[in-house]
Amino acid sequence: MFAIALSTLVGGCSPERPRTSEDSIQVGVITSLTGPEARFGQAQKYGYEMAIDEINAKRVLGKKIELVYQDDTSKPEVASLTVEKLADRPDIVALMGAYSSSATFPATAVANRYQIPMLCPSAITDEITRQDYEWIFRVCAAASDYGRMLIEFLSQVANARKLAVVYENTQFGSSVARAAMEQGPSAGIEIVAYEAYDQGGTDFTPLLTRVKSSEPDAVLFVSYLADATLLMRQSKEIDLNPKVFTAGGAGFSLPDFLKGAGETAEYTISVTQWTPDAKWTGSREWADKFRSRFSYEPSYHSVQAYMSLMILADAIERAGSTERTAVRDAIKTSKLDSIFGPIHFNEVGQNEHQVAITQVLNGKFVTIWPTTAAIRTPALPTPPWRARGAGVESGSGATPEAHVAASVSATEKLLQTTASGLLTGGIYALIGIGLTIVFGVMRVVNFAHGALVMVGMYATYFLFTYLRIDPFLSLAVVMPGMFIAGVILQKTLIAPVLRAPELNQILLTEGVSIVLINTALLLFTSNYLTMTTSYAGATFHLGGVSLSKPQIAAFAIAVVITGAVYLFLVRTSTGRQIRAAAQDAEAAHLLGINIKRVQALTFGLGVAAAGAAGSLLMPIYYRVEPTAGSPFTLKAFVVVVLGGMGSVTGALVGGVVLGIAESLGAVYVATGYKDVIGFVIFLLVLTLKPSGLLGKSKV
Amino acid sequence: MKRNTVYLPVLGVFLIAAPFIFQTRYSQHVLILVLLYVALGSAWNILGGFAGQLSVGHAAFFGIGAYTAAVLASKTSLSPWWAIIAGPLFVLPIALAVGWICFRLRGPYFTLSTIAIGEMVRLVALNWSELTGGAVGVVIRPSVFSGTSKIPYYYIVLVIAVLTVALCQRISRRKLGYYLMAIREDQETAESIGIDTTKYKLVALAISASLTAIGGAFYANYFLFVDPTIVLPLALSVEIVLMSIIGGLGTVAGPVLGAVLLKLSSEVFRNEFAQANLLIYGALLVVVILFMPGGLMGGFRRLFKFGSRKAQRVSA
Repeated sequence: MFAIALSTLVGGCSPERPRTSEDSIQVGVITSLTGPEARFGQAQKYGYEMAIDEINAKRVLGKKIELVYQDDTSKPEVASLTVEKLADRPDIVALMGAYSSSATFPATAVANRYQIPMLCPSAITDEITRQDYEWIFRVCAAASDYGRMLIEFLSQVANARKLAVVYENTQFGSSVARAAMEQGPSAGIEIVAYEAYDQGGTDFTPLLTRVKSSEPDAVLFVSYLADATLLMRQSKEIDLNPKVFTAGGAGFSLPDFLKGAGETAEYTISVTQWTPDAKWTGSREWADKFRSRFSYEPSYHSVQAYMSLMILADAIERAGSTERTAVRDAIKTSKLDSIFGPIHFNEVGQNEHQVAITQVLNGKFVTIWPTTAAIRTPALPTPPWRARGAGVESGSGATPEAHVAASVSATEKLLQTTASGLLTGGIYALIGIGLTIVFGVMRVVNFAHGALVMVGMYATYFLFTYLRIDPFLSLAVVMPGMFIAGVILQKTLIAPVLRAPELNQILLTEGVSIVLINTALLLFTSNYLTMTTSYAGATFHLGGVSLSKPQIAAFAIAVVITGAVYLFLVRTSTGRQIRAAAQDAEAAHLLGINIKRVQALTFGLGVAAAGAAGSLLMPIYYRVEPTAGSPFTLKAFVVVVLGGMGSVTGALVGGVVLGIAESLGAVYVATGYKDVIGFVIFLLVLTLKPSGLLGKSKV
Repeated sequence: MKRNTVYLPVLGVFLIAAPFIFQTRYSQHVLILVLLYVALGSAWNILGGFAGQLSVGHAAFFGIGAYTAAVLASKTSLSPWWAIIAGPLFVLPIALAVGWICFRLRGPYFTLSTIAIGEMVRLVALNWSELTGGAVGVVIRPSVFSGTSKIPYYYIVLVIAVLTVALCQRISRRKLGYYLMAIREDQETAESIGIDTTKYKLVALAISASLTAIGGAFYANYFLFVDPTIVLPLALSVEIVLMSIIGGLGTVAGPVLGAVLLKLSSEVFRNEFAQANLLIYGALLVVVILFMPGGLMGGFRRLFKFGSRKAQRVSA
């Protein structure tokens, strides 16, 4: 094994000899080719490719430019590492990248330290230009520009006085949110809600309820793609109706957003750095060329990448050399007229770029502000969800009377919160049941439970996408399938460790979890796969409470399955055998019960329950990715601990309690700490009443 | 014995000369990471391997060490290198509080509670922006070593790693080590013969957490950027555990072996299939538990002994 070790390092033994720089100029590009931001990374890559073709047709200093791509896997520490790797090579002239603010921000520190010029195409966090870096240049506009433009629009055009800000708790999200918060008050806009959420959340209902109760005129969402879609859909579900939905670009400006959010994307307003109908020189022709080349709608992410490379090529040409300092100085004095507007860097390395505001009208992004860039006037105010129907032509906006003033009474808020929590709790209960019966019979703590839920989710996704089987119907396929998988799993991997110390069992199931998640990552990558049923977003309104119909259905089915499991355990002879084995395996064995068979059956049942939960989650949350199941492992344990290990009714109670507690906590205390509530309850119960709220281990 | 007297000095010379053998910054970076993880794995092993308390929340201590450096850098005029001393000081009361809550629990319940603690620390760091900068993170200006050479960092982490492993070695040979192993094997019996199990578990936790915090403080000063996704993720806790299990739980060389293997292969794989690396580790974990519970060290030992016992525990 030392051989492997040494051979890896031998590759990096002595400083690399530079590639032949006689006929090409090497430029480093850092982008997210894999990981959650892969879609954006791909968009950037298209932009770079457009630029490379143009540049190499004319050549720079008589040579071609060659791009050296490095994948930051959407992670900041990898981005920094790739900067070092590239900067260490003397033949690399300059760097471009990364995509996200989180990855770019630390990377710029490294580039600056290594004294290599770096152009940032898309990272908007203000921090980058506040560090007195000599070598870093930002091509796109910054978060503070987003804030300024949005606030201007809201106060002057939309006439909004109360703004709710919802942002993902990342570098990107916090920058834009902060910009809005800083600039709002001076324009007469009160920030009535300021909610951060952990990226990749599954259920925004509590957060949106909280926002709804603050009665905002306008809502600002700052998110990437997956969350953008879910936020709009769930806003419809809980009937959140501000005068206008605004967004800070990113997820809300990708063509995929239009596809994923469907009609809920209509009327959303977003800040953008560029649109295909922009009035800048050559913009539209570029957009057409892009479309025909890639069969993909161009977004500003591609343009920013394209521009960065164009700026660099221009700078190298003007510098007359590929020496890093000379190139840097040439970038500083850039003056171009381009498809991205006029290019000019100020004293902190910021390109002074104008952002614009778009609105989604008839399924397309249309620039509506500022008036110099606008293609048409904004459609305001936004019609409330219930007033939107098929066949209503968007573009005229709602009549003022149609806009129902959304005021939420305290009772309504409480009811909404509790109801949402109850529905979520049903799913939690189902997940908990699988875990609790396995523990009851085998005393095995299955750390792979969440991963098994994820498997159920993927199975449902594929059944729906390729065989058009409705997720609720696919239960008939998923449950038996997962049952069989569970039996196999038990016989091959679990049975051998039943007699072994608990440590082994924990580690084994954890190992299974790691294998499942990483297999999914390898097969499906970490991109979110979304699935939209025809009834997605269908809502049931009662009083001031809005409940998603799919969620109600899922809850009902979860309860039915729970009931079925309970009856099975109590009324059938196999069920009684299982309970006997749970009470005392030795005695059961002496009575002639085939313990091995019982154990396999139980585990199969537990896995089937996990899979069923996965199926029920899909129509509610629309999407799956490999780590989607992971939060549920811990939640399942909380449920089981609350209800008492081994008790099915306990799991039902525990699930509901957890769901409601989380919902109440998120709405009345703080959204960011929502998951902490579960942990705190967990620790409290474990230390104060370890046998659970309902007491002993029984069915 | 004879093996050690030849093997160790050779290793020592190699380690001291390494940055001059491997001269690219990238390979030096890999060496630094390997040594850091050797320290982290060994530190964890004191609690997880010797004492048998399987914590999957150690990233919390690493993160606290790292954030101590970050806070020193951003809020005070002190050099963030002081976090190597201050980090463990902060971690100690927190670790003791964690121990007081979690040590009442056994087996999987204990493990789950450590996961909960780890996640809670991460969420606090993410949300308490006034102190930690929240999601934005903290950029640390290099205070002692400006310039881009990695060599000073290499030697610092080498010292940290060597001291940590040496400490593990000493513990394993002395009373503390034996008490911990007794607790691991059978806590009730250990109590009944007069070992204060709570006290010794807390001691193990305190040592383990402090060493992990030192690792975190070093990392902050090396990487010069701290944010919750880098220093506090659950994945980090899992990686630390994996190293010791695969290398050999409860042995001194086990975590070292595991760290070298894990980190080197993750660098090899990252460019092609990052997921393949973790997948292999997951599979390896399953295989190790089923067939080789003593980890790789256990496997080596069995090669030199007769009669392996089937129902072997996950301990050396």
